[in-house]
Amino acid sequence: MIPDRSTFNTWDVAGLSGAGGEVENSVKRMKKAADDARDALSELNWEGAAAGAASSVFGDLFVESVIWESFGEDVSREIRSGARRLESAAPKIKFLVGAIESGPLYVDNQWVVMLRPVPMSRNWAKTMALTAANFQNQLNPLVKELGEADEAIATGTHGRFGRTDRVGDLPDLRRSPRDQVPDPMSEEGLAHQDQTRALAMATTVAERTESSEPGKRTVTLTMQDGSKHVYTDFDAYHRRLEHPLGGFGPTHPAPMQRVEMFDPSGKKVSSYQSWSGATRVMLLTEDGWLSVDQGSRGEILVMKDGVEVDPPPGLAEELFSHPKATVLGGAITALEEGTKLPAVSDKALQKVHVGARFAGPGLAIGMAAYDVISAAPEDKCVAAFSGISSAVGGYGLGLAGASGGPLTAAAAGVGGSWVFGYLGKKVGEMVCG
Amino acid sequence: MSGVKVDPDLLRGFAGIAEGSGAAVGSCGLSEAFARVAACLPGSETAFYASAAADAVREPIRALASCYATAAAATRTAAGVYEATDDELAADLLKIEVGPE
Repeated sequence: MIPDRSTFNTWDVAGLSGAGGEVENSVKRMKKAADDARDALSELNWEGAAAGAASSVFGDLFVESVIWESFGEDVSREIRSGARRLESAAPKIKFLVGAIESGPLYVDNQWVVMLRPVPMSRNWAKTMALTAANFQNQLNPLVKELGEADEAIATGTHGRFGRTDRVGDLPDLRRSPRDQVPDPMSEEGLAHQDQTRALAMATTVAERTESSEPGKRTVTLTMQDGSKHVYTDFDAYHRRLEHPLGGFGPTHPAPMQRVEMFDPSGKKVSSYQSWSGATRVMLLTEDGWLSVDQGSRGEILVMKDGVEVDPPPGLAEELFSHPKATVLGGAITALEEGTKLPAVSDKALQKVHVGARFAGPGLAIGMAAYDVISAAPEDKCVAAFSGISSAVGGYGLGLAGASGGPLTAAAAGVGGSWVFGYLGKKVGEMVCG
Repeated sequence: MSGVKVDPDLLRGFAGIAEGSGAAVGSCGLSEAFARVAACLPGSETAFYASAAADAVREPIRALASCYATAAAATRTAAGVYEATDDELAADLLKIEVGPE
């Protein structure tokens, strides 16, 4: 079983060899006891039928002790052999983790080498990502070795118990504990690590800049992977905006908030705007822009490349007031909590400092859409959507990296593309068929 | 019945040694050793099987120790019986008066 980091920290690797040796010592005590009895009997000047019977009984007990001694020595050998492998790997892991964590990187509970949430320039973040991948390659075989050594002890012990009728069988091997992290030397494990690091980098603020001019304030959050969220708070009075539900927007002063999200290449992938109680979310999908508008009276309009489409049942009601967004708090989405029509909250945004986790309003939309789609009977839709959105949802809820969990599915689907680009793609597929 | 040669005191001495062997088997510590192995790697496959092993060996070892104890007790009893029989026979024989009254 490959342990996660917290389980490994509870292991007394140095004590295992001694404990394994004690298995052998104990069967040797059994053998010595049989030797003592047999020797004492042979020295006894005792003849007769009872003497013959005693010789037979103590002879059998001696044979038993030889069988147990052989059994115990074999098991002890298996344990001590595995212990030597662990004794070799464990200090290397501790040294390597110590070296990694002496700088701007750290190792998470799933043994993924991550970037610390500290201020860093884009170039520095790129260098650190490469360094993290390099350290990861050094760490992976050692982590794998922990699992293999443990499995060797377990399999060896199990096999030795199976070859004697002196004790009952041990539980079936299939019932033994499973790996706590994906095999770090497998394609799945490597994808899990890359995806975990990519998600963290895409949602960790590396730089924050603010600018203001009369009637307009801009906050730019640059993430560790180079993607950006640009928040703009301005007075719509100065412009004449097209209203998302048709007609024209207000001509009187009305504050408007907008969060635009750009991928690391600078391409806009989502935007979130709210003004006068109305909200518009736009997501870039593979087939173009998807927009979801909610008017101030709650009416919903879903458009794909400017053409109105029917959203799945329930999507409209859930999209803008999803409970998970509230559970997460405003910080990660910057959506104001506790309102029926959540708007981007300046107060919430003020809490988003360098090192904070931030995913923008798109996260809430993705989670809401995912839940609605998952409840629908079409398995195909569920399967198609269960990739990145569940991964993002899992990440937001602190579940990222669960072995065999959504991140794995996400990693398989994402390939080399930017993590949140896929979110837009899948939302679009679901909403538009 | 074949010929019998026995020294009850030596037989008691042997019974004592056999008792000691039984106690040594019973307290050999194999079950405890497996428990120690399990405690070294919490949550592991090793711990899973070592815990099961600690349980699996407990009863067979107790039964083995019991064999020694039973054999030792029988031997000790026999020593007493041999001695009593010999003493009784001696007393009975000594009661026989040989010669004129």
